[in-house]
Order: sequence, then structure tokens, then C-alpha cells
Amino acid sequence: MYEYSIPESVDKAHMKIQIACYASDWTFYDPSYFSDLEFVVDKVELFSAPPPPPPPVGGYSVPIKGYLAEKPLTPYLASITILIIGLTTIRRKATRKTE
Amino acid sequence: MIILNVQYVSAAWVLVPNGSFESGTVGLIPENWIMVAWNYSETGVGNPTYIHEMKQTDQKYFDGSRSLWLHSRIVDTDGLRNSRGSHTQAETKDWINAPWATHVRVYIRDIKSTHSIYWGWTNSVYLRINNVGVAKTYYGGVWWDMIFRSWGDSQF
Repeated sequence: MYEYSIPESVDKAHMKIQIACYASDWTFYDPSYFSDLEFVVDKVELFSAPPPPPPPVGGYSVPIKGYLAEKPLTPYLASITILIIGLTTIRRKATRKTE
Repeated sequence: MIILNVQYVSAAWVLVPNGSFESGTVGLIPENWIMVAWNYSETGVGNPTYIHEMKQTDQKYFDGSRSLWLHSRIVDTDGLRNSRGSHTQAETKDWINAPWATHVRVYIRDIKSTHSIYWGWTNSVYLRINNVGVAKTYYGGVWWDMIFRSWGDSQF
């Protein structure tokens, strides 16, 4: 399968597709010699390919989205804070009972 | 997408049996393709035998339609060693109007290049798009690209 882009210079409103089989000899050395070529064409397709993405114009690249940590610390800090408050409360109650 | 399949021939034509296109009669050309053939001689001297053949064959890899078999041969019956070419071309019968087309894809198989044992031959497969908007000369008016070239295999 061979694929080619059609040049802009081609008048695409008036085209003929041609597949050429060309056997040639520059020089023969004997009358019995020959040049021979054959092949099979299964299908020819015309199609419209999507345009390629625009190339980068250079300069710095700045991400649109903000930085997002893979393991955020907020839940851990909140858990530790709640645990400390709980332990402090329990300790105070225990201290009062002993008094 | 336009698919220029080689369509099944009309009922008036003799169909080639499955898998035996080699024995088909020369000239059985599907109706949406035509054969263009000419001979080339750089010197205009010499009278070799030129053979141009275009037959239909069953598709091997695609269902529902036919394929084209093309063949060109030069036999140097006069032994004059002149530069000559045998050009056989399959061409769409009608002009195609596809302004949206950006690419062309060709499915070709079974390329065979038999030749004399010495140097001096170049067999080629060309894809061409004939452009009616440009004056047509031997090379002009046509966008073309080479698909296959036989030299380099055993030229020397």
C-alpha cells in the first residue's frame, strides 16, 4: 500500500488517476534479451486526511492547571490535630479525677 | 472517501475464472478504467517487439470487486541496442471531481520484474494524477511519483 499527498498545484476538480507500468532498456546485448514488468492493482482510494496540528511557536510553556500534589497533606494534618485534641482532653479529664 | 474500485464488468464481457487471470484474454478491461499504451525510442531506430497487456483479475485481499493486472515487455528482436521503453497505463475513464481530496492511496501487489541478465534496464511503476488545468506534454501537466523501480536489485 502506497500513500501520497496530492500537491496543491493539482486541479482536484479535474483529475485522472493513472497507474503506469513502464519497462525500459537502455541497452540490449543480444536479440534474445527482454525487459518485462507486471503487477496487480487492487484498489485506488482518494481521501481527505485531517490537517496536522499547528507547530509550536516557541517561548515558555506555562501550565493552565495549578500544582496538584499526588498525596495531599491536608487530611493527615487534620487527623493528627483531631487526635492531639482528643488525647489532650482525655489527659485533662484524667488529671482532674486524680486531683 | 471515494474508492475507485475496479468494478465488476458488464454482462457482455467474458469473465475471467477465479484465480486464473493469467489465462484471460487481453483487452478485458473493466468499464471504469481504460488502457493507455505507447512505445518509446530515444533514437527512433529499431523495431523490437512491444507487448502491452491489461487484464482484470479477482481481488485477492478485498471483496466485491476486481483488480487490474498490468504488463509491459520489450523484446529486442532486432538486436540494435537502442534505448527503448514499453509503457502500459491504467487510467480512470472519467474525470474525477474531488476538491476535498488531500491524499491518494494505491494498493499494489505481486510486482514482478523479469529482465535480461546484463545492465541497462530500469522497470518502474508510476502513480500519476493527470491535471487538465495544465497543458499536457510528455511529462508536463501531470503530477507523478514513482512507486517502484527495479534497478538496484541485480542491475550490475
